[in-house]
Amino acid sequence: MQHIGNDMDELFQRAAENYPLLAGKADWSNIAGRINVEPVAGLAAYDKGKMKKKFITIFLLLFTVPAGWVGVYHFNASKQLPPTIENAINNKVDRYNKLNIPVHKNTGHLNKSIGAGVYPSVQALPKTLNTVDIPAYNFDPEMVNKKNWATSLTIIENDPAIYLNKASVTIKSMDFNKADSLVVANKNEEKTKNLSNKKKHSYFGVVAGPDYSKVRSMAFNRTGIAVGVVAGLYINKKISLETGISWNTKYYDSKGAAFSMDKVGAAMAGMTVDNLSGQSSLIEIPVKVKYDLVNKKRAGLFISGGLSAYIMTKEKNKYNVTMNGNPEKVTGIYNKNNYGLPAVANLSLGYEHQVTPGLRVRIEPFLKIPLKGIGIGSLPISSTGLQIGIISWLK
Amino acid sequence: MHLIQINQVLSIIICYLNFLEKTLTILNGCKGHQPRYQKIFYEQYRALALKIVFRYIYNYEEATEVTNDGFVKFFLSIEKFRCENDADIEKVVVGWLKRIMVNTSIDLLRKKMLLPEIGGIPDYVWDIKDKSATADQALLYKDLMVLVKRLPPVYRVVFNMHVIDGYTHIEIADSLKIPVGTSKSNLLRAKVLMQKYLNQREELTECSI
Repeated sequence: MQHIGNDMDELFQRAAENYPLLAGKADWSNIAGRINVEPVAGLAAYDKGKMKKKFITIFLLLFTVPAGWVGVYHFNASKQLPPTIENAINNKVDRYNKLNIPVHKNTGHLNKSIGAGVYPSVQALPKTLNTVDIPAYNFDPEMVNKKNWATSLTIIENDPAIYLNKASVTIKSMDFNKADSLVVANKNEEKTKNLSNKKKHSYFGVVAGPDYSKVRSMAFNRTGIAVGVVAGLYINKKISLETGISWNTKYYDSKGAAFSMDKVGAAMAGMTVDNLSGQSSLIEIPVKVKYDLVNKKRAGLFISGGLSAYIMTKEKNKYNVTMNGNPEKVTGIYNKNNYGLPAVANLSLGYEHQVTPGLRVRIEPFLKIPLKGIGIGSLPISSTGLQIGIISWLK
Repeated sequence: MHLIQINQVLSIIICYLNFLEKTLTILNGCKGHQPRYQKIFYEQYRALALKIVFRYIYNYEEATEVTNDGFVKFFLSIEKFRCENDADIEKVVVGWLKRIMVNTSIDLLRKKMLLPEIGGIPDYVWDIKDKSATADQALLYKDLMVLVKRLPPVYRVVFNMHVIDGYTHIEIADSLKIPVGTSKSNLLRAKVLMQKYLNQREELTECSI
């Protein structure tokens, strides 16, 4: 009879080494698909370099793009100036023709037979004005004198065409007593007026702001950031469709119960996640419907709602786990893209304020409600925050 | 004659050095997360790893999955791997891989609460191709492993760890989160059971003769 002793131990050891087990088919693709997790050791170096680049990118986006925008706007505006007085007349002629008001084809003089009933503001104005502000690009004073336009000028002060831009040169000592009936109109100002009163069809802008994320009932973690671009198209006077793309960094805490182990695989086999602290970099593509509650010349108030798709580009989770009954800390970095379509519902209320004609500043507090889990642990991340942006009409 | 012997010795040394260099290259490639070297390493050590895992995990298919899980752990933590002496690198890396495979197997068994498995071991999992003397020995080894696998998981783990893999009771207790005394008593019970199985096997062999 054999006995379990040292010899048998040796026999079992030999048996363990040499027993004829079928090796089966190697499944390298299975392994390769699961080892795309970066080693934790490389994290510190990665963070410093990447974060610096990120900071510079955000800085450039936040400051240079809007600055460039303003510059381009003013450059374009200056290129269009000044229109000639002939243009002003032509424009006025067009305008008055549309209103069915008789006007002289070449001079733009109103027919004297027009009475107060037709154009009451003419009658309401004082007959003599010694100093009048006129947009700089409406008139070249010398040209006005040369052509003796002064004798046929009447400034209708409440005409929006003139009223829009008073920060300009002052034409002094002009005699308006003999004024006949020329109303100055300027093409640029007409455009400005149109911009203010009638919405253009499409707009474009850059937005950025803080992002506060959390999972279920957990408290907010560190402040994240979202930087992006938006573009919109008006389908009627009040409703527009808006989309864009934004690069978000989110920080959040989660309990282990909310974290799904389905996608984690063998890297955390046998572990139970107690809680985790996560950081995600993701690209968000929103599609929203924007409704203008108030739309004044200088300011507007709107609400918007829609859905967002998420593409998770990088995720780093610091886990507190229980492994073999022992609490341990594990860090996982996941670079494989994770798609969520759609991942969140967007709700926001926004305020826009016009800073220059055609350029508005937008402040938009938002709320993002998760529709499905995102990331390696399919976490239902909800977010709130504020988007501040600069919006420009597309011409 | 002497020249031939010297030549043979030199060839062996050269082969060993080549092997050492190859192992170092593969491991460095694995450390650099290069899929090519990871694949070579995986294919080279997969059979060995599966043999370790199959001693702990009853089901063959489950054992292959655990082996893959173990390799994932290995590749993910390879940067922590250190070996002072390059000459021992093969031994050290196999030891490390073995430890990972054992721990991964234990994790799964713990997840399953170390409950006893049901069902037999199918014949297709054994690789016995011929009927030579080597095959007889292979059959003996196979039978011994079947006996190990017959042990209840609680005893099998301790038996495997202590008798075959050379863990001390302190290491076993630490790994399984059980008192050292429990590890010792489990090993004793495992050995008693194993003795019983061996006796049964002997009786069966005598009957068949």
